[in-house]
Amino acid sequence: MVGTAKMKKIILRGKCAAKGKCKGEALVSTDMIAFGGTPVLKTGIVGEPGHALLGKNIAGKILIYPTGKGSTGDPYSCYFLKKYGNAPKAIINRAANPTTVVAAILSEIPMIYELDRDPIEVIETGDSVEVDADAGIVKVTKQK
Amino acid sequence: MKLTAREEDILAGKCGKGRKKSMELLVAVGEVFGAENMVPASSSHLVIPEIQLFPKGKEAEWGMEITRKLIDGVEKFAIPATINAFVLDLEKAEVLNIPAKFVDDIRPIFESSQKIYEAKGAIPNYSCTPFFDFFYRQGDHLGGAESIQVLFNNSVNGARVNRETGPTSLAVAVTGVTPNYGLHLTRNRAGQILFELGDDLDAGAFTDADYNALGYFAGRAAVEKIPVFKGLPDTMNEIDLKYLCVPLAVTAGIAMIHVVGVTPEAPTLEAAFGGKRPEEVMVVGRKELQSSYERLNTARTNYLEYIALGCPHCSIRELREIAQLLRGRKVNHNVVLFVATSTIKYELAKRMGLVKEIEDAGGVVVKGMCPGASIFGRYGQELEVTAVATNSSKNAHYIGAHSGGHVKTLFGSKEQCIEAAIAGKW
Repeated sequence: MVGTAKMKKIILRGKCAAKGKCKGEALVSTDMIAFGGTPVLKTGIVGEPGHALLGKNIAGKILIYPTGKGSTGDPYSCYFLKKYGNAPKAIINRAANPTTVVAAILSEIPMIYELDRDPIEVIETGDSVEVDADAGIVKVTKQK
Repeated sequence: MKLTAREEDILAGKCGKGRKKSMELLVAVGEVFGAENMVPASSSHLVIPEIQLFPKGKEAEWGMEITRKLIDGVEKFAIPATINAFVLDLEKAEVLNIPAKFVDDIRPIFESSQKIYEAKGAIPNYSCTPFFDFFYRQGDHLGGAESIQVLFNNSVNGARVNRETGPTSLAVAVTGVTPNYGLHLTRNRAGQILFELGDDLDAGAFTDADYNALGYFAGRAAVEKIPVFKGLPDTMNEIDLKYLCVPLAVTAGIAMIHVVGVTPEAPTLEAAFGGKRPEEVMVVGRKELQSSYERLNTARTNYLEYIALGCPHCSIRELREIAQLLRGRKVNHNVVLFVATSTIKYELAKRMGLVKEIEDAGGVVVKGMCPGASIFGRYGQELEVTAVATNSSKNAHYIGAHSGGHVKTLFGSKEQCIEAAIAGKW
């Protein structure tokens, strides 16, 4: 964009847990996330008491959080979120948790983990993020 | 990953579609977590979505889209497979005040799905605590989901199982193998963070709720490190261990703990940490336990409709204790007290007269049913439930979370829960 030449771009490199490419807006959580438990499946809005994203909608976002938590039924919840149209577009985690990996594979959501820099510190909510999970590359365009 | 000729054949589709799909999933997980090979699993514990969390409508269909692909063409499971709790004990639905319409809505898929898995050889214990029904040897490699199954089998039985998922638990039962990474390897089983008890706590006097509160806090603090607890009594029984373990997969994704002097891989503090130093040491006191109680008690009044015990499912010892507490007493007619256990332990408890004792006092013993999170968390609003009391942090947490905070929770010891049941209020 003309006039915003100073918009900063950052490239992060990590490992691919589930393939796919997409572009979207970042939503960053300092708290862990369980697909069954953190968001309400039918709305995508976080309802877990005390959660850092309480009241925020994860639908269609590039979701960045430390790692997965919660029940081992999580891949099903993730698949339903996707079917309801409320799944995140991509998942970026510091560390991969098997529940999240299986969720991402079965729901066909690109997922990257173990990046060369801490995604929670580098990426801010609202940043524009391009994910190429096949290549393990995350391109961040800062909005501030 | 290096696969055997048999595993390569399965992957190539020579043994049918379901086995191929199952092996693909296990290989994908193994690749991400750096597994060098597969190991034979001695058993698996299945979590089937359409009978537990998602038994109705579109969600049941969607769940089956995943599971049916994994069992396509599979006549019998390769290894013994226990099976997790289901959403409702249909025979007790009426006394639980669950409307007939709800029962009618779930019955078709619920019953046909159970038949499908039982025909493939699944052990119909229908319980989140298969370790009270089935034998696990130290060092056994297991497949399986249900976080308390994973935590208890790793920590208390010394078996080896990663915190995987419903779909992979099924894939392991179908193929008989599991990717060899994580907690299957000795080097990954050492403790990382030490929790010491503060001077203001008397662990010898801990109730079931106190163990829950300790685990609930420890999960939040440990995040992904393997916790080691020091200072807990060596008299801890399976009930204490169950309630200490269960919250660690609720507030975090933890799959194993050590309790020094209690669990098999922690005879000493040094052994618990595999000879290394703790990465972190935390002292847990009264204040930390109190923070757990505050988070788990979301109700602002003493009103309640249900009191749910048996999350995770009761052992025979716990059923016996509940029966003793209810002896000569009467549950208030305005509330429903129910106690959950496996189908197997239910038969045992019935023969021992425990079911009759609890039910004569006005309680309800349910078999195979998940006592709260599945039904009140997912369907609480639809069933017009507003407040549930429980002695389980997992139940309290998920009832609140799954219902988006609509169903409020009251959390305390089983003694407090039973007093509330008698009084009809918290």
